[in-house]
Amino acid sequence: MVIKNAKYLDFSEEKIKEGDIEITDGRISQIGKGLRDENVVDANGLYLMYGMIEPHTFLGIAEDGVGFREFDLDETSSIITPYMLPSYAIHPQDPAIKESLSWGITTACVMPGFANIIAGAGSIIKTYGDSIGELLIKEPACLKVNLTREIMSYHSEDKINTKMYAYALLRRKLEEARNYMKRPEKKRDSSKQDLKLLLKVLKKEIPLLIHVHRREDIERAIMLKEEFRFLLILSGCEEAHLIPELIKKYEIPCILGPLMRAGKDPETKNTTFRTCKILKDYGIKFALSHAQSENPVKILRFLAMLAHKAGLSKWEALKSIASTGYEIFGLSDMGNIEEGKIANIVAFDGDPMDFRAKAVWTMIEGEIVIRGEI
Amino acid sequence: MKAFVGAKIFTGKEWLYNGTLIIDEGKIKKVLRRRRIPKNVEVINVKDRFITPGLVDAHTHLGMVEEGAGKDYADLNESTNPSTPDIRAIDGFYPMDAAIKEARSSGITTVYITPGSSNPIAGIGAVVKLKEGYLKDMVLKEVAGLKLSFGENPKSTYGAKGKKPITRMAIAAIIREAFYKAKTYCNKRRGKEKNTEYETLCLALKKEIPVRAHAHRKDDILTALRIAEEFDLSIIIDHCTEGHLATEEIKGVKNLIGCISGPHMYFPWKVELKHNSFKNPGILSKNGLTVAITSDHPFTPIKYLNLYAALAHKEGMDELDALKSITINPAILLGIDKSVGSLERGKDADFVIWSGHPFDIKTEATQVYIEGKSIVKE
Repeated sequence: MVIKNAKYLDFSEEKIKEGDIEITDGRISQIGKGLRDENVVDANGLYLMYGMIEPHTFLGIAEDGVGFREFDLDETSSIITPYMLPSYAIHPQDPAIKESLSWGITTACVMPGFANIIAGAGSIIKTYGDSIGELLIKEPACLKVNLTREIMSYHSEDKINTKMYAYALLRRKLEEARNYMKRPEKKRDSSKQDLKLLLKVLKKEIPLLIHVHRREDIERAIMLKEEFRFLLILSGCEEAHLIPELIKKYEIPCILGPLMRAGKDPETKNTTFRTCKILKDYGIKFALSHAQSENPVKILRFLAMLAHKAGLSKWEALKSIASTGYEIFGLSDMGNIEEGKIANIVAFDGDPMDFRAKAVWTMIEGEIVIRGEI
Repeated sequence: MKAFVGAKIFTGKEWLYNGTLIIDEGKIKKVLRRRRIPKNVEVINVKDRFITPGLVDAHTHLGMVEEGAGKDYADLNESTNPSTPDIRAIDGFYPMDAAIKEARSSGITTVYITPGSSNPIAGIGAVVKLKEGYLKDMVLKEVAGLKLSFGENPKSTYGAKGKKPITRMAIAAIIREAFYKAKTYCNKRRGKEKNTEYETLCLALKKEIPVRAHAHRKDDILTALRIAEEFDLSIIIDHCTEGHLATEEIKGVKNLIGCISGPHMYFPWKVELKHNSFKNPGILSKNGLTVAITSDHPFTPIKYLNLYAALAHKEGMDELDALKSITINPAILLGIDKSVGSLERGKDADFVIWSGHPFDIKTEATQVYIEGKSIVKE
């Protein structure tokens, strides 16, 4: 297949380019002038961008239109629940998934909510397919930890009262996993799914994603990383702009947000879109996320616009919703319109940074799977 | 290099009436008895002022109970389990708390922060320097003491729910049982799997950290000392409210490092506080004990720490002892007297310039230096 007459956004050169895009077996195989194929998509007048990624979401497990009792979001029966795999709960028919797809979001990392200290695995999905087998790209893609005060609001007073205890419980579990790792393989109880998952973290096969708001929790997360030697992704991190040098020193990627937030509490009171520009100036890798704010996932693009409004360059803003998210999760064959990448593309009828621009079609793995925004 | 000349200086031991304090690169270079100014030094005239070491409060919850944020933002008591040896104060610490700025600009430069007293085995305290910067740089000692709580607080936390401990007997039982188990764990060497709770108790058993016993009533103080003797633990008695009624029993106890007295400006709402008095630190001190006076912030505000010492002086404590009780003595008890607590060559340049005698109620801390840097007054 060849997409003809395209204007496309090249993130690596930060340019809007013109050319034909050839797609073979779901990947971009060639970009050039005058490419031919029997199967031609005319993109005259359209702006093509790589499909967006929502890196921290509850698509399919906090389903639209069913009410919260039907959610499969938080396993609050216990406070440490590593072995929760979203693929056993994601409902491919969640209307929000299709909606997101139609607005150009092609990929998402779904993970459990904010209730548990160790909440469970993150699962990378594509936003198209009838069954989880079709949706699922990678699981576990990370293990999610919460170290915000929200934990306390999900569990009764006789379970947990302080952040001190949250950290202690996390350390206990990580130490248990370290003990497990030290045992010879034959002596490890293979039925311990929790520990097997944590083992992947300690062996740096998957990152630990730690959701925090405040600067001191960012600092403590980094101290934990130094103590247990895991790969760290920071999530939330609304006060990252207060300690950018430290985050840069340890090269920790951040999944920022939700920055569009009303009803700030003492932990999130310093939330601002200006964080984006500051992190960029320090060379910190970050992606923007709604992270189950009240806003629908589909309007991810508006986060980039608000980041741009708060000083981030247009290209950095777009990368933060359609490129760095892939890098953070090590999805190296996604994230830009260039040869070799998987052909997840969205076509807009105008500059994607213009809020009036609409997604005309979205392509997943070389196939236009939806037309028009829902 | 800077020389502060003309002030009355309390060094941590004595008054120098016209001394010279010289600092260089964040450290104290010299403290001279007379006005003598070396060459190439920036001279700062502080005539009629008083200088003391930066104040140290050896028992606080500063930054753990956020000011103006409501009870959900208090990281004080983990009242879900009576034994939580491995919880750490530093994990509940909020470095941007308004009270920290206030403390700093009132002359307090170093504090010990500790979990609250709901649990017989309550957790780990840390020593924090109140400078601005990263958490890691603020922390002088991340693991500085293991808190044990005796008396009414654990009883009322759990007893009211019908849970153990309902009685003082159970408090002692919980603590002793844990140390017995930890002893076995610590002695085992080969093939040992790490347990974070026992690891902490081992630190106390090896005397790498002291146990910090929250005890008010005389019998609770003696219970704490009895347990310290049984397991050979270094012990500090915190609050020590009836300590002045128990001097005969506690002075000369081998395991006792000292007492942290206070908060005294506090309504005795509990039975065990009946004898709370500003006389307490003076009497303990006269009996040869190392005494520190505490605000127990936020239970009394830390910014008035100098005045709590002043009131202890009013109630009979020797003036120098009272000054030591908020400077060098807490530093000794926290095991940080090599770097803070007094104005001596080589120590951190943490000091306060006061408008008058620090025990005068009208006096203000006009400037506060931490590691040679002047703190902007807020």
